[in-house]
Amino acid sequence: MQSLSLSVSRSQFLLSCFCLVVSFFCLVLISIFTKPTQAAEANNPANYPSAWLEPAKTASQLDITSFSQSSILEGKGLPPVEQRLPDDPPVIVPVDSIGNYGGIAHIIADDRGMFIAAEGLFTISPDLKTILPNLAESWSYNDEGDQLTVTLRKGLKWSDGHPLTTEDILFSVNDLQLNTNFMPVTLPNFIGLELHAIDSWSFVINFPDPDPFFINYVAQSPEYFLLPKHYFREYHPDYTDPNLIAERMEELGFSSWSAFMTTSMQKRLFPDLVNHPTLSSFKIESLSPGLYSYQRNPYYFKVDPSGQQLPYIDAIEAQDVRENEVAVAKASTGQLDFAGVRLPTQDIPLLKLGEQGSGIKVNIWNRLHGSDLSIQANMNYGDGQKRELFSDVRFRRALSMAINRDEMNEIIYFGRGTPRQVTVVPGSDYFEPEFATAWAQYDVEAANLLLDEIGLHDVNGDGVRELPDGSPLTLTVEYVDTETPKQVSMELVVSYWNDVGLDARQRLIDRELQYSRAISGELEMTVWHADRTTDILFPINPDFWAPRKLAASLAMWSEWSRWYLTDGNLGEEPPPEIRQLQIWADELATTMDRDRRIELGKLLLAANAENVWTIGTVGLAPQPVVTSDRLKNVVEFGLWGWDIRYTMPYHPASWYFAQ
Amino acid sequence: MRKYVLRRLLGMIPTLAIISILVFTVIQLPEGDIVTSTLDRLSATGVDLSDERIQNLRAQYNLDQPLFVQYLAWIGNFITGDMGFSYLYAQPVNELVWERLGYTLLITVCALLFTWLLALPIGIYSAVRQYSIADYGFTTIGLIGLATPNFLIALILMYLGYTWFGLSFGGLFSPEFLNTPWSWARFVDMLAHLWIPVVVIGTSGMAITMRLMRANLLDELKKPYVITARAKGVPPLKLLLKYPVRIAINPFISTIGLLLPALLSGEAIVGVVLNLPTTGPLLVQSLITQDMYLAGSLIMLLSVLTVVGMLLSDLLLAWVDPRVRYERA
Repeated sequence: MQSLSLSVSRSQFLLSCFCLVVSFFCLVLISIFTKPTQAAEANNPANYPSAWLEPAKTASQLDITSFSQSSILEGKGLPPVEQRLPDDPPVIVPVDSIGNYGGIAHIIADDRGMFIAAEGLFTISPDLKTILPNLAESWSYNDEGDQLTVTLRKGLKWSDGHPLTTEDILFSVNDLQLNTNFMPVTLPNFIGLELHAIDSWSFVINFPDPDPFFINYVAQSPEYFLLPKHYFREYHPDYTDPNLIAERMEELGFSSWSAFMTTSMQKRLFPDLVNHPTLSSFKIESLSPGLYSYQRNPYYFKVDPSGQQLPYIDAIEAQDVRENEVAVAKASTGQLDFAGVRLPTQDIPLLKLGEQGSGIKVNIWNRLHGSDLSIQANMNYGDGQKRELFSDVRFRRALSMAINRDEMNEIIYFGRGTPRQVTVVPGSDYFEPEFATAWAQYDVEAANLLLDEIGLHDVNGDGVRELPDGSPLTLTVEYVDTETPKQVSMELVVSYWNDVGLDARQRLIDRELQYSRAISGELEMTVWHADRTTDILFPINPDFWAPRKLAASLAMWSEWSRWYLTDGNLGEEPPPEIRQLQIWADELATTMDRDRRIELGKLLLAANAENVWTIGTVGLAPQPVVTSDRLKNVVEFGLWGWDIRYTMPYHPASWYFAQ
Repeated sequence: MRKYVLRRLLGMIPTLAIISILVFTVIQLPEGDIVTSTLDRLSATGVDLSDERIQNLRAQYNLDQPLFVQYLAWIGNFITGDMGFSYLYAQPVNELVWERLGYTLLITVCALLFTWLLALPIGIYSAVRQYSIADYGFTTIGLIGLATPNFLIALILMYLGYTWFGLSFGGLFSPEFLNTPWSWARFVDMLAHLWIPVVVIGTSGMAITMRLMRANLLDELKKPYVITARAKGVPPLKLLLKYPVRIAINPFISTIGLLLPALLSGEAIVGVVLNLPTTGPLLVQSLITQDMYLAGSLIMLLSVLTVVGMLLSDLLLAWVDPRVRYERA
């Protein structure tokens, strides 16, 4: 196997050591870890309470009139719970049972975003399609789709008791996102927006073009829309004397108010963060090296069906753990109440071993990545024979058919993933089974035939194919080993390609290098992971299917993207069939016609199925999610990924500790 | 003597100046900067890595200024004791570093003592009983310690600590003491966790110290003055400790200055694996993300420690060994 990675970092070495250990465990564990007959369907709504699939009922609709609170909030001089809750709080039905208050959850810092769900105007249903009300009570588009009216629930409050009103949303968008002093280059989703308030509870957004999926964006990235004006106005030059702000920044050590604001918006941890009002179920209480302590937010707006204010759990202690190995060790020995993000697929057997006596439960969720790997050959690479080769659909099909996906699924994923191309998840409105299977069958003979047909023959008889003019052909795949098991996958892929006579090599590179070389089109071949494959983000960001963005994750057509982004001033004009993709993607994002939308989405996906712009391996891969035995109401099966903010549809505020 | 110290101190200034330029340049060498790496970290959790956001952030962090302006700003503040601002942790570097430096020094000094207290007597024993079974035994153990990567020993000890003593994985404290004020119970809890990093860092230097001591002492033992003293009937133990050992130990004293940075950088890897609240993980993280003020300041602090350490060890050597005492010209 040719893994000529000069830049193997220490942690990779560590990982490979662990792979050895783990593979030993695998042998031991084959008997314990039985293969399931059929992985549960990715987003089958029947797995979840029906109440989760529709707008949450409110207390008045369910005739809940009295509310109660956790006993730790008593005697703290807070207003009574009825006054802290909104006028008509939404009711969250737990998946298993009504919980009880109390307890401290121990997690690692990277799982905070999963244990404390982001709260936005809207939220996402577990069917991975529907947008549901959350802080907003309702919304409506006009017929043209260029105007959105949103109405907030009444009586919502920040964690310091200050009311949430349209003022906060107007501040976040008009004074920050659309403020050129703060954002010299406006983010694409905000370009041309106009916001104005109707009253304290409702506001209108006017779009330059119809934007039916804006609500998906708001639901998935709530951070941009909800900053507490009453707190941040003290740091904003439109509201406060700039000299005073400069003084405060000096004190806090920030170079400018905008740097301070950005840091705040990213929820990056710094001492002043403890003062930031939040809408989430928990608020940060203290920070020390290696530990972040959270307390329940006494003004959190959701209740359970018996009128108890959520969350059930009183506090969270999150430890900074930097090594996956330590996270796995902690999780498998029952030292964490919830763990997911730092648990690699390869360690499932190890975790299962821990299930035998450590008081933990190992749930196997599926990652929502349409494929764990998106292998890309740069069709804009240089100007020599390689560019011609990578632009040849026969070559990409041959590369794809040479891969033995079933074997990869068995070796890396214990047979629990799904061999498939880079496409949307099953159950998506845009999905057709052939999008996942096209050119994905393992067929060495066909691959060899295609390679011969292109003119790649072994001229000098060394067992390796040369370019048509007889010069040597080497394929170098450079990538970053992150998020999904890329290195172990690529070792297999490279060996499959060697089997069809291609001299393929892989090299791990630095993240920085990946970014700068990807956007400048200098990567010959690379690997990324294909998320954004659900109906939440696919229609907004069909990035693997149309060249419209420059990013570290997209190295196969940077010049065509640059051409698109600069209105034809830079980059290269794409050929007509690629230009067509961009037109389709633009129309998909703006059309109000549902049928046309699905038609366009399918056209994009079908084009990839036919042309294999990017090659997939195994998708819907198993993701271990470990909980302690005492943590209740965590769904047994969920989808794991960024599109739905990992746990947003599964209501972490309803998790509790059994007594 | 005073003049010598003064001259040495003055000599440090150009050394440190050159180091600071080197440090700054080397940190800037790789592609990208703190902005791309910040966004990159965010993208690991799925946040968009679009061009617009990068331009926005770079302007906010004043990274669009020329390099030498950035260097002068950094080093100017460093001299006045302000080490700048860490973009990665969103905190002034001073706050970040001092709270962790205490733990780092505690662990490093303990590790140094651990190494010496074990390795020096073993080295002496091996020299005196050369080619004995115990000599081979200690050498083997020492070499295993040298050859095994630190992080692996750390993982094994963590596992043993957990299975034998029920210690929590990683960190210097059990979860229940993480966020409490100092107390006797917390101190004991810390000691229960402290031995792991101390042993891990200590073992890596053990073999070298042991073998050096052995070799130095063997050289001395063969010298005529030892034979003479023995012939004259000086008690063996007194002879050994008073003359050859005193001489054989000199090289250790003269390398204290070098040992300190070696231990500190060894601590970095162990600190990451063991989740210690020390400067090591901070340094690794800041280098990966090119958080230049944090990384630069930490390396500068290490350099100052090394240079000062070298001076101290020279002075110490002069004090211990009359033969090398500085003579006025």
